[in-house]
Amino acid sequence: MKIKIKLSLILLVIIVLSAIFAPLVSTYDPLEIQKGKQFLPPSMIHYFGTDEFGRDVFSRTLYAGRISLLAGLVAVIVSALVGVPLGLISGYYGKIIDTCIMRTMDSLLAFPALLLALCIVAVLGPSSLNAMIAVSIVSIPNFARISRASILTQKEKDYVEAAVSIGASDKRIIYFTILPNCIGPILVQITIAVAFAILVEAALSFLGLGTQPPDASWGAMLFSGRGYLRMAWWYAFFPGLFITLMILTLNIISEEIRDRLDPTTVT
Amino acid sequence: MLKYFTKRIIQVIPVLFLCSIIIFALIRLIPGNPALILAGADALPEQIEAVTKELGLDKPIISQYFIWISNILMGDFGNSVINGYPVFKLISLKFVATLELAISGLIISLLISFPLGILSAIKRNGIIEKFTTVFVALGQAIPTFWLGILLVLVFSIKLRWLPPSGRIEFAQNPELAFKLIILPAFTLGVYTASVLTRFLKTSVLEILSLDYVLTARAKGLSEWIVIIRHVIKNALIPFVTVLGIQFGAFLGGSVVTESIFDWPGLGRLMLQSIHTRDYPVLQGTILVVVFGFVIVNLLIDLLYSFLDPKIRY
Repeated sequence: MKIKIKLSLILLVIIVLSAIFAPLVSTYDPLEIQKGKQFLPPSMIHYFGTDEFGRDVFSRTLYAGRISLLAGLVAVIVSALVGVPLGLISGYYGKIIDTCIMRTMDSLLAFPALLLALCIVAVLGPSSLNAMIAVSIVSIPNFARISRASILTQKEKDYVEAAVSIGASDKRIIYFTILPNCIGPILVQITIAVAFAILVEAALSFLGLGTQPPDASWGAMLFSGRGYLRMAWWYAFFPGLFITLMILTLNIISEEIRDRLDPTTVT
Repeated sequence: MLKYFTKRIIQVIPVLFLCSIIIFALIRLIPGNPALILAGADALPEQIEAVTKELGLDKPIISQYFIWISNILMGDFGNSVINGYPVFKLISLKFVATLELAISGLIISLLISFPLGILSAIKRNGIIEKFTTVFVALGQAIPTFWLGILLVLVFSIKLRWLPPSGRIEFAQNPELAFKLIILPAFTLGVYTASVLTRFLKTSVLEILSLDYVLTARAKGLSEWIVIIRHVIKNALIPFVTVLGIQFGAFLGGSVVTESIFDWPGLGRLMLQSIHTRDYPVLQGTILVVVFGFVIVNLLIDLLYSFLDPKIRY
C-alpha cells in the first residue's frame, strides 16, 4: 500500500474516532460558557483557543465533527437507498419508465448542487435535519445515473438471461442477481458522496442555513468564527482545517478504490 | 450539423420546463399564505381576500403555474414582497456584479490551470509536477468558504495588502476595484483551477502517447511546435466541456464567495431573500441562474461538436 493511502487512512480514522469519542477526548464541555475567558489564543490549556463565549474551540470542533459526519452519513445512506433503486428500475425496464425517471434526474442535475440545496432549505427552514434532507435530495441523481449505467451493461449478459429463464421475478433479478455485480461503481460513488455531503452541509451551515447555535457543526463554527477574524484567527481556522482534512483523505481513498476496481484508468 | 444543433436545442426545452415546475413547486410548498405575508399582520379579511385575488391565488394551481410562467416569458418576474421593487430590475442590477466575479474567477482558473496542466505533463517527475499534484489534491479538498477566510486572514488582516470586502464600479476607481476583486476571484477560481489542471494534464499525457505526435516528431519538428500545434490544440477540445461542467460549481461557489466578501451579486440577493422570506425574488433569481446554467451547457455542447467534427450523437 502506498504511503499516501496509509497516511490518509490513519488521518481519517483519527478524525472519525475523535468525533465518535468526543466526550472522552474533549477537554471541556462544548457548551460550557466561561466568563472572562473569551478569545484566549491556543495554548496548552485550550489547544485551539476559546470563542466569543469563552467556550473551548478544541472540544467544540470535536463535537462539531459528530454533526458533520452524521450529516454526511445520513445523506449518503438516504440518497443511495432512493437513488440506486431508481437507477436500477430505470435501466432495467427502459422505455417510458426510463424517460420519466431520468428526465426528472436530469432536471435536478440542471441545478447547481449547492443552489438546489439552498432552495430546499429555504422551503423547509434552516436546521441541521433539514440540511441533511437537502443534501440527500441533491445527491440522489448521481446514484441513479451510476446504477442505471451499470445495470445497462449488465442486463444483456448470459447470467441475467439464465435468471429470467428459471422464472425469477423482476425484483429478484434486479436486487439479487444484477445489483451485486454493479456494486463497484456504486461503492466509489458512496465515498465521493460522503465527501460531497459533508462539504454541502458545511456550506449550508456556513451560510447560516444548517446547524443552528448553540450546537456546532464545522460549517456553523466557521459561520460564527468569520465575524471575529481580526480578534481570533483560531476560531475559524481549526474547524475549516478539519473539513479540509476530511475531504482530502476521502478524495484520496475514493481515488484508490476507483483505481483498484478499474485498472485501465491512467492517472 | 444543423440537424444536430436543432436536436440538441429541442432536447433542452423539456429540461427547462421541468426545472421551472420544480422551482414553482418548491416555492409553493412553503408553509404559510403568501397573501397574508404581503397584506401584513394586521390586515382585514377583505384586504387579504383582495391580495389573494390580485396574486391569482384563488385559481387552481395548474393555471397559477401557467400565469406565472407566461408572465416570466414576457419579462415580468413580479415584485419584491419587502420593498415592492420589480424583481427583474433587482436581478439585472446584481447580475453584472456576479458576471464580473465569474469572469475574473474564470480568468484566474485558466491562468493557473493552463501552465500547470501542460508543464506538469511535459516535464514529468520534476518539481512542477510535484507542486501540481499537491495543488490539485488541496484545491479539490479546501472548501471555498475556508479558503476565502484564510485569504482574508493572510492578505487583509496580517499583511494589509488587500481590502477584505466590498465592491465598487471599475469606472469609479480602477485601482481599488481591481484590489477588491483579487481575493474573491481567487477564492472562486482555485477549485475550478485544480479540476482543470488535473484534466488538462491527463489529456496532454494521453495525446503525447498517440501516433501522430510520434509522426510530428519524426518529421523533425521542434518539440515546442509539436506541443503547441499538435498536443495543446487537441487537448483543448475536452477541456472546453469540463469548463462548461465547472460553470455550475462557479454558480454555487459564487453564493459562498459573495457572502464572504460582501460582493453585491445574485448569490447575496438569493441569500437575503431566503432570510427575509422574499419569495418572488428567490424564485426569480433561482430561475435566472438555473436557466443560465442550462443554456451555457447547451452552448458548450454545440461548441464542442463544432470543435470536434467526429462528435455526432
